[in-house]
Amino acid sequence: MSPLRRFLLTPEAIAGAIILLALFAMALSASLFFPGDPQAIAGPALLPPFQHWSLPLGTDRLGRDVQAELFHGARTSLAVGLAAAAAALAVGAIVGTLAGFAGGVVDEVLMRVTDAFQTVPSFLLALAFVSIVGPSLGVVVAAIALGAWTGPARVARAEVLSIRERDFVAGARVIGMHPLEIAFREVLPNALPPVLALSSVIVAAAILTEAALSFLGLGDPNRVTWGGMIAEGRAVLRTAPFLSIIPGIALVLTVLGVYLAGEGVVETTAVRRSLS
Amino acid sequence: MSRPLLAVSGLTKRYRRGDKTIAAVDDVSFDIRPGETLALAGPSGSGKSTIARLVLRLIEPDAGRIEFEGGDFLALNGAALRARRARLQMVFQDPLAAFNPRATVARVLDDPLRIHDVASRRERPRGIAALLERVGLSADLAGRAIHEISGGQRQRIAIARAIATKPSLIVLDEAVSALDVSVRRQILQLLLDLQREERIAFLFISHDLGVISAIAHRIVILDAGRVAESGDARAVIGAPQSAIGKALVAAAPKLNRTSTQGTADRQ
Repeated sequence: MSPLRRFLLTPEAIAGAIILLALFAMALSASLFFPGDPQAIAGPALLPPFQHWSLPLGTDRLGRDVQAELFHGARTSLAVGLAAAAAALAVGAIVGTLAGFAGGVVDEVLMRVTDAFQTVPSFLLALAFVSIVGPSLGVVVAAIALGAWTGPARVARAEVLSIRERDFVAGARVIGMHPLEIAFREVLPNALPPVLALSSVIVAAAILTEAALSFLGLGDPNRVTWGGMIAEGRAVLRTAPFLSIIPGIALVLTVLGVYLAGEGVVETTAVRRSLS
Repeated sequence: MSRPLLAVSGLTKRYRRGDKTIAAVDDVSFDIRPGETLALAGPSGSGKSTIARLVLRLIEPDAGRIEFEGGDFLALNGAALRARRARLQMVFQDPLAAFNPRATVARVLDDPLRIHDVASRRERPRGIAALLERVGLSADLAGRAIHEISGGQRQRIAIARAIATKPSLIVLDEAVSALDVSVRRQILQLLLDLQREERIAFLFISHDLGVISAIAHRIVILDAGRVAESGDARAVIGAPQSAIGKALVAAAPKLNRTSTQGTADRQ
């Protein structure tokens, strides 16, 4: 049975995949359906949802189209979530591999640095970083990755510690391969599966962190974000709760979708591992 | 008498276990002449594999000297050691564990050719094909993944990787123990052919005296990290002097006879 089919057999994977596909469709079609500036005024202010056919989700305090903002916000959430997770996994895998493979002082130093990062709450770290460097998309990505790479680093190190004792690593040394090549070409690829299993948790956490930063006004001001929309709606929470509820639901569904799809992938690979 | 290719003297490796220090290898000396096969035999735990790893500098000894091709092998480090490794190769017991599980046959054989600059990038595919042919495999195998081919084919690939850099000595650590009897015989024949044609010396580690008497010129029998006896392989196996030698010969009489005959039939 192909991995894709086995993946699609688990109900949580199907639900997760549907949500994620819808999200990607939203993000990719945002400029197709809403070609103009999503932050431009589109109609009367505070129009409730399902009142006007061209503005199905209504408008916010300034008369901006909520649906257009939601679609463009999906872009930011996905871009930030995926980029931050990719950066965190890459940094974590490299640090963990170096620490585990080199051992001794290098290991000790790298792991103490990891400890230091892990003891600071990652959201505070991101908050401090963005307030100092200034809010832009790249900085937000870096800020989130800064607090998320320690988990992958630990998992990668543990995996590398067991792999480096295996015969094929000794074989690579015997043929005279450079230690760095052994670490990154022979050992790292074999240490990746458990590290990648963390990716769904990290993507979900990154999306939430980005929303929280935007909610506090530390997101990229030139981009629509769901966190920013929730913050915007807070001022009129009693009279127009939908302004906060709609992006809130989008956020919950997205994180749920990422988790479920991640679970499905882990489940699939776990089955394959136990079979082989 | 020619100079030894490998001269090991006073080799010692100790391990800590709790408060006690245990000598896995204790003051072991032997040498190997060019083109010769020296067998290291002994029960499990006698230090055979530790010696293999010491000789290859996969682990460092606590005392002793290793001279290889007339130079102090223990004095080499970094790039000089890596370059020297071209002349001293190894074949592992488990041919599946010895390769990166993601590798293809072509990559496994490409690595030594690339690292030691044996062939340019353009010439390497031809070099890989030649190596495959040299160990009796089809050149079509190059594109296959290591886990797709049979155990015997894998061990042939391991030998091809070992001879890729034209070594003068190959350490074979139980290299035929995991193979079934007929494949074992073919691999031993391949090793004998390679030795005859390219004058490669073997340090042949095994617990199987039948296999040893078929391939080795001389033998060193180890007991608890020390040399129990050594000498001409057939003479020692025919009339062992040490207690451990007698025990080894007595322990595997049946296996001993069948595999000796099997190999003798082919010669």
